[in-house]
Amino acid sequence: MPKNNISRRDFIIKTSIAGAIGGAVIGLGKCNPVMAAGSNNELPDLVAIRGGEPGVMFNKAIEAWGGIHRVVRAGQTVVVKPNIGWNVTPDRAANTNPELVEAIVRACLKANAKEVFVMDHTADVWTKCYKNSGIQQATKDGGGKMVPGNNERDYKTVKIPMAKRLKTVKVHDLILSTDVLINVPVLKHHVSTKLSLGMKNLMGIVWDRQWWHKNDLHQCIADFSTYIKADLTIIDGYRMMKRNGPMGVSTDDVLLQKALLLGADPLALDVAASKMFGMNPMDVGYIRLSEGLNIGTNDLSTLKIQKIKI
Amino acid sequence: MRIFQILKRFRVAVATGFITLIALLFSDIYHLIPQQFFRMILSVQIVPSVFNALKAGGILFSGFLIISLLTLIMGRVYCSTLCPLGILMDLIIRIRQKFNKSSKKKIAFKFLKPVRIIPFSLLVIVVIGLFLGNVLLLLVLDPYSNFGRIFTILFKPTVIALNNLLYDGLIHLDNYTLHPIDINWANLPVSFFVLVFFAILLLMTLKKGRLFCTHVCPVGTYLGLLSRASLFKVVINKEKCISCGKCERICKAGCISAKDKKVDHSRCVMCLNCLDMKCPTNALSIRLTPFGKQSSKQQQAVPQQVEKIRLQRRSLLALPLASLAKSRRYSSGKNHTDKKFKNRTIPVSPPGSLNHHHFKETCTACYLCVNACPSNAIKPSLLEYGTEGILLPHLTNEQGYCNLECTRCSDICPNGALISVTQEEKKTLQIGIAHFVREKCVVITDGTDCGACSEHCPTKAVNMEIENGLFVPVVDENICIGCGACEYACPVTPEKAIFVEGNPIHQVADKPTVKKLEPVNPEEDFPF
Repeated sequence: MPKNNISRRDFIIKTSIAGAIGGAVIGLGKCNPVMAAGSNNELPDLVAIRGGEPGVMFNKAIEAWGGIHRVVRAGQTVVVKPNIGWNVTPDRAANTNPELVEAIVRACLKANAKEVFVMDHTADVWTKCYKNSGIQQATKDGGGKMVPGNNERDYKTVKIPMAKRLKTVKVHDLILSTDVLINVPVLKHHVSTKLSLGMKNLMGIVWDRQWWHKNDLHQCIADFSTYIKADLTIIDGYRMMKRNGPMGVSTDDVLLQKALLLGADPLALDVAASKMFGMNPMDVGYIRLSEGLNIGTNDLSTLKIQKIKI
Repeated sequence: MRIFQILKRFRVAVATGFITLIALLFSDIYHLIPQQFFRMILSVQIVPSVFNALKAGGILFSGFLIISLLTLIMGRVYCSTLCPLGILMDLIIRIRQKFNKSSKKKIAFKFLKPVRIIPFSLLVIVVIGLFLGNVLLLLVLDPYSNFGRIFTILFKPTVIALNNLLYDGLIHLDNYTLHPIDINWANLPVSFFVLVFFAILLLMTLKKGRLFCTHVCPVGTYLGLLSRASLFKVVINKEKCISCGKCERICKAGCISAKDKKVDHSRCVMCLNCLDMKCPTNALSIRLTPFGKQSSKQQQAVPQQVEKIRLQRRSLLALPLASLAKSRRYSSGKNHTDKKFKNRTIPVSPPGSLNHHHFKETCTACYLCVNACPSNAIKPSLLEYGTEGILLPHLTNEQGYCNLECTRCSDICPNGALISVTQEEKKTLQIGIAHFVREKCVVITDGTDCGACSEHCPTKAVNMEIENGLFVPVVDENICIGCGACEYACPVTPEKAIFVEGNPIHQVADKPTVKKLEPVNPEEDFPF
C-alpha cells in the first residue's frame, strides 16, 4: 500500500478545517447574503471589497474569488499591467498603488508562476514614472521583473478583426507572448474619457496612443478591448482621484476610498467602478460603445457579486 | 632625463583622466552622475569660468584665475591636460601615428612661421564681443563648447546605439539591467555645422597638429600671451644643439625651430613630447626663466611692436561690427503675424535662463544641457533665437517636454547661462505660454473626444470644458508654465493644435487654485 495515500478519514478532516477557515473569513467579511446562500463550488464573478489596506484587500478579495490559481497556473508567465503613466508619488493616486502591485506579484509567484513581469508604456519619462510611482521597488520586493515599455521595436503590429476604427495596432511583444495578463488600473477621473478604468488602462500596452486620440478615442478603446481581454482585472480604488485626472495637480484631488474591485469580466468591472466613482456608466463613451461587442456584460444584476467590508 | 619622462607620463595621465571625466559627463545616458559633480569638474574650463566670474561679479575663486596663474608659472599646460578639445586632437594624432607605424611614414611636423594677426584679431573680437554681450564668435571658437558639441552630436548617438544593441541582446537572456534609450536627434543643419567643424579640425590636426590651438583658439591665444612670461619654459641650449631637427619634427604645435634653435613659448602647449624624446645632445630642458627674459627679448621684440599697432587698428574695426550685431539682438521673433496658423515664433529657452538676453550673453552652446535633459526636450536651435543666438539650445516638444519637478539642466550648466532653480520655483517658472488653435483641434474638426493636451498638463492650465457634449481645451495663461506637455501630446500633425510660445523674459505663473473635496467615508456601502 503506497504510503502517501490520503485516507478517506484524513481527507474529510482536512477539508472540513479548510471549510471552517473559509467560512470564518467570509463571516468576518460580513458577506453578501447571495454568496452565503450559494453553494461552495459556485465562485463569484466579481468581488468588491472595502475598508482595508491595498495588499490586505487584494489578498482577501482574491481568496473570495477562488484564488489566483483560477487564472495563474504553475510554470506560466504573467504580465501585471498597472497604471504607471505619470511621474508622481503614490499619494497622488495617478498610478496604481505599489502595495497592491507587490501583493499581486507575490500571489502569482506563490502560485508558482514561472515569471512575473510588470510594465506600462508611460506618458511621462518612463524611468521617472517607474521610480517615483514606487512600483519599481514594489515589483522588485515582490520578486517580479520590471520591463521597459518605451522601445518601439518591442511592439508588434496586430490586426483587430472586430474593430470599427482601430483596424491595426502595435502591441507590446510581452503582452502577445505571455500566458496570463492581469490588468491593474487605478480608478480615477480623466479629462478626455471622463474615467480611467480597466479598458482605458490597456492603452498602456500599445505604441501609438496619439493615433487613438486623433481617431475617436472612445471607439479605439472599445475596439482594442475586443482584441485583448485581460484574464483578471483588479481595479485599485484605495485612493481615488476625483478631478483633474489622469495626472492630477496635487493631493487635494485625491480621496481616500479604500476600495478594490476584482474579476474576470472587464466590462462589468468598469461598470461597477464607474458607480463607485459616482458616475453613470453609460455616460462614459467607451463603456457605452462596448455594448454587444462580446467584451463582457454591463448588467451587474446578471453577475454573482461578492461584497466584503473589512 | 628621467624626470622629463615622468613629467610627460604624468601629463598624459592627467589628460586621459580629464577627457574621460568630461566624456562621462557628456555620455551619462543613465543619469548616474550626481548633479553637483558637473560644475565641479567643469569649473577649470576657461570659458565657462570666465562667464561665471563675469556674472558673479568677481573674478576671484574662478577657474579662470587659477589657470591664468598656472600658465604664468608653467606655460600652456591647460592646453595639454585640461582642454578636452586639445586632448581630443592629441588622441587623433596618436591614432594617426599608430596607423603609420609600420610604413615608416610617421607623422612629422615642421616649424610654422606664426601668422599672429589671425589669433590676435580673433581674440580681440572675442573680448570686445564679451563686453558688448555678443558671444557669437566665442561660441564658434571656444574649445570646451566645441568638444561638447562634437561629442553630443557625433559621438553620443553611437554610445546610445551601442547601449540599445546591448539591451536587445540582453533581453533575449531575460536580463533587464540595461534599458533602451531614445537618441536626442539634433536638427540636420546643426549636425551638419558640427560635422563640418569636426572635419576641418580633423584635417588641421592631421596635417599641422595643434594648428587650431596656435592660430585659432582664443583661449590658446590668451594663454599664449601669459606663457611668454611664464617661469618655467622649454628651452634649447644653443651650445649643445646641433640643429638635427628631431624635436621640430615631433612638435605638434610647430613651435620649435631647429634652425634658429628657438622655441616659441606663446605657442608651446607644454606637451613635453620633445623632452620625452631622446635629444642626441641633451640640448632640451625646462628652465626657470624669471620674467620671460631669455626668449621673448630676442625672439619677439619686433613682432610685438607691430602686433600692437595692428591690434589697435583691428579693434577699431571690430567695435562697430560687434555693436551692429548687438543691435540686432531682438530683431527676430518679435513680429509674430498670423499666430493662429503658424506655430512657435519665439523660442522657449531652458528653465533658469532668466531671459533670452541673459541666455544669449552667456551660453556658448556646449550642449551639456541637451545631454542631461531626461526627456530629450532640449535640442540645439538653428536660427530660432536670431542670427546672434545661433546654435543655442532651446526647448522643443517633438520627443518630450520639460518635467515639472526636474531641474537638471539648470543645476549643471557650467556657464551660468542657466542659473539653478529649486524644485519649488520650477513648479511656477513660466518659460512660455500655451496657445490653443481651435481650428485645428480634433475635437472641433472630427467631433470626437481627445483631451491629450489636458491629460498631460501638470497644472491643469489646459482644461477641458464641455461644449455641445464634447470636451474642448481651454488654456488658463495665468497658471500655464510653458512646459510643452500639451504640445507634445497633441495628436494633430504636422502643426499642432496647441503649442507653446516662448517667454523672452521668464515669468512666475500663479499657483493653481485648490478647492477642498468632500471626503468620502470608506465605511460606506457599495453603490451596486
